[in-house]
Amino acid sequence: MDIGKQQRVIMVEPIDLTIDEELEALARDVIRPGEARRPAGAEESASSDPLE
Amino acid sequence: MNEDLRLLELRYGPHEGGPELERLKVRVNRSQYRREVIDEQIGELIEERRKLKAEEDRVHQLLELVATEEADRIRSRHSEGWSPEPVTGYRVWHLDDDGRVVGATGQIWSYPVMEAACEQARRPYDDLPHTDRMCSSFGYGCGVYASKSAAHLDPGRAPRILGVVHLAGKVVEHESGYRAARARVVAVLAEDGVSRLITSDPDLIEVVFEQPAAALATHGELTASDRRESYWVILNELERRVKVWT
Repeated sequence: MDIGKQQRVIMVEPIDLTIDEELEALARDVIRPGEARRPAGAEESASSDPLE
Repeated sequence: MNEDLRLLELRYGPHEGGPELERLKVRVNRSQYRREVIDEQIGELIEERRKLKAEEDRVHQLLELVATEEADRIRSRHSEGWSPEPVTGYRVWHLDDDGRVVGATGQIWSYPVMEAACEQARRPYDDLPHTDRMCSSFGYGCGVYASKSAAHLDPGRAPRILGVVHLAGKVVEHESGYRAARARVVAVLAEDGVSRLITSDPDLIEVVFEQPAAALATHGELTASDRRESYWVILNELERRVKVWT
């Protein structure tokens, strides 16, 4: 097959969906419901953690 | 000091030991002192080692950062691209005397997936397809070849299979085609002059590559002799379908 002169390399690396799932799981751990909307500088109280 | 002598000293007052006893006491004291000095030096060495390890970790992180920047510069200098989506190419296969699917170089495709291999490959691993003229004596080098456009293919005579392939891994772009590390057939148009089979069904594509004649006989549509289009029509249909599929 005549494909002509070489031009460049393209690296095709499909994104692994499991990474996204891991990131989502991590985000769930780090940013718990309610915390994301807490004003900056607001003190964390014992009752602010909805998982408790 | 010996416990018995210590007790007797408490009992009878200080006792002046003989020269042998004093000499041995001095030896014990000297040994204890040397041991304490060694322990201190060990402590200093452990601390020094900890600091060196921490410094080494910081330098290693910096090295990784600088190496990444250097790699980016090299990629940029060679206009290297990156894509999360496979590159689409077109191929044509024919059937050999045993009815097997073969590529232009005689490579047998018994499965609709192919991985590049090269006799010149370095061990234990290499960066295939070669782009350093390692195997440039063969065509444009190693890799799974595909055309950028179906119109560039030379379809030859039936029986033949025209296919759309998704290329992945290292894909070397040429003026009118590609050489890839991996290729997967995602759509085919197979014909033997009597019937024709067009499909993007992965299971059916597998059957086409495993048993092409049987696949055409079982799943192909008969093409009346007065309705056999030229291969240009077939290619256009294939391209049109690919656009719909993708």
